[in-house]
Amino acid sequence: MHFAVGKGEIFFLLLLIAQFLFLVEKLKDIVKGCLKNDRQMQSELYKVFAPKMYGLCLRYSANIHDAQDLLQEGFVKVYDNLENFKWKGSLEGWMKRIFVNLALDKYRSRVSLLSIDDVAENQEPSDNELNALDSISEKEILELIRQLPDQYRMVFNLYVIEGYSHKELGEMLKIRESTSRSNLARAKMILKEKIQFHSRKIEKAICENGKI
Amino acid sequence: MERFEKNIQEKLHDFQVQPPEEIWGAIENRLVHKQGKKFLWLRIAAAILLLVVSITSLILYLPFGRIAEPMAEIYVPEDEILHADSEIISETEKTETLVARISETYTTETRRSDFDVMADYQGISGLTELNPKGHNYQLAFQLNQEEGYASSSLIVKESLEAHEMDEIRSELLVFDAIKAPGSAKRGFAIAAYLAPQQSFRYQRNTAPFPYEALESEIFSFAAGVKFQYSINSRWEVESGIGYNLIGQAVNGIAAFSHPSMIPLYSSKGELISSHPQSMSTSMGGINFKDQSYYFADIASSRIFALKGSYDESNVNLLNKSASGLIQHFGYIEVPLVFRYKIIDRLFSMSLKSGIAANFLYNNNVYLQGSAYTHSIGESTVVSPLSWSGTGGLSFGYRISDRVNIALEPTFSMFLTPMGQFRSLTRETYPYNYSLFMGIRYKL
Repeated sequence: MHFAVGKGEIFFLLLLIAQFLFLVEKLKDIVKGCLKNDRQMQSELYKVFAPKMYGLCLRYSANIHDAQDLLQEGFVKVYDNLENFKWKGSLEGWMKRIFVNLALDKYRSRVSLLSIDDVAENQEPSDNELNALDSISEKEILELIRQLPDQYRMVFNLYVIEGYSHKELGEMLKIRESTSRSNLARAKMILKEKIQFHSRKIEKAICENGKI
Repeated sequence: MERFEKNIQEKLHDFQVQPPEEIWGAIENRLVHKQGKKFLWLRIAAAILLLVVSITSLILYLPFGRIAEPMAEIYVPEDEILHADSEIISETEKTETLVARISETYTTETRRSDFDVMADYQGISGLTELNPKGHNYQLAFQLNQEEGYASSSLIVKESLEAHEMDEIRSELLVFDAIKAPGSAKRGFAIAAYLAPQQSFRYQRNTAPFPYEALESEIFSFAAGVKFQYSINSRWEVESGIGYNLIGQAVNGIAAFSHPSMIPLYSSKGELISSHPQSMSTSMGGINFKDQSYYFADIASSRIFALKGSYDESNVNLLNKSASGLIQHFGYIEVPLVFRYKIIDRLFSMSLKSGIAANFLYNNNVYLQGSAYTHSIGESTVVSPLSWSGTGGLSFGYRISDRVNIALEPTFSMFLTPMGQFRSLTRETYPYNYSLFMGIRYKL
């Protein structure tokens, strides 16, 4: 195989690497400042990561108010524990773990003793369902996830988006592995139903007005 | 992972939303608050340490603690001296014996120097008369220069009735109290004080703040307990723990709330502030706890309006007849103060001067209306520890042997700026004019 690499491409690559290194260094400076309790640097760290973390908080919370609380608490916890971050792995990943753990703590503290019926795992969704998923925005999916019961929302987030296994989920949420499986199935079922309903609404709007 | 899950995972894994602006303000508030809490144990530890160090150093290392004052001489007319002797025991210790005939009544008027010396040693103010009956007997004083005491003995030269002997003995028993070594000189005392004060601040090298002209002094108080140690008849040193409330007023600030938390605009249409509301004063920034509040400066042209649809029905003015905001800072104060006695009689006067460590303990901002005071938040970027200097005069009155009361006009001022970051806040040094009212009990 033969690659023809032009000067322009090398330059561009170097520029990208330089930019990356610059960002890493800047982040290190910000973390150093945070460790010294420098409010300016704490604010910088917040500015860099707040949008992503807020996205995460919204996923784990039943309403905006809880999400904002989680965001506040999470950042305070991040500043408190920053000295334990040793630059092994990404800062973002480490922060996400803190936020997820905090969401878990919050969930455990208010866990309701709802008995949730075991439901058989659902079939692979039809093309219809997948098309429906394409037509709705991230924000709308988020809204639907937020409407899920607490335990379903936790299971769905941790399994589908964070990528934990059912075994890990069982330990984290103090539930049986089979319960975790059935919760996920149920959560997916509810979501699919809602997404279908949502897309039908849009179709109906198209039919009535000729446009969205 | 099935396609449905994968699809959602892709959509949401890196999903970002800009959080509302006020969240950072809330986090910052928590951090400031947390910092305060984090320093709490440190403050207490530092205060205890300072107290222990100052008291132990008083007891152990005082250089003048062991040096006796030159003893005043007792004046006795030469023709009445029967026997005088002095024995040098060591470099600092000398015993003097003086035996004199006392055949007339000596009062403070007639033989002032004698009685003053004796009264000084005893710390007994009531000793103004010796041998009131005019009996003819001899009295031996033994003065010990090292320990600073005098003792007496009686030699009876005339034959007396038994009851007359008893009278003289009881008279001399008073003298024997002299034996308590150094009772009036070295020793501990405990005191409590309350001080009403005027509190304000001095600023150095600062560009004016927007609200500076509105700031003014406030009336507050300080209170606490002190341990005092008398080093000798002139010098005293004291330390203790106290609460010192200082701050300032920001006049003519009204506050109101609007439920929609929309940004504020000036009458010219410039954006004044978005939420959370905060303002900078010379004593730190003020953050409102309740983020639906707005400030308005009612004295000047800075009266804020809401842009466009100024919906007055929704504006809830919290203090229409407002006098303004009060910034309060409560410090736990650990002082180290030296006193020098100028006059030490029934009435006493002394100079005092010293330093104090001030640990920020509470921090509050109040909204003051004509009929109420409402806590609305706290001042930010205030240093948890500041040092101050103090100086003043003390006027005392001796109620009894052990109990004194005193009035002390005092001036104290921070020696280090009260702001946490020099670059963020200007260099502000709070000061107080206080009138300490104290009561002291000699242990």
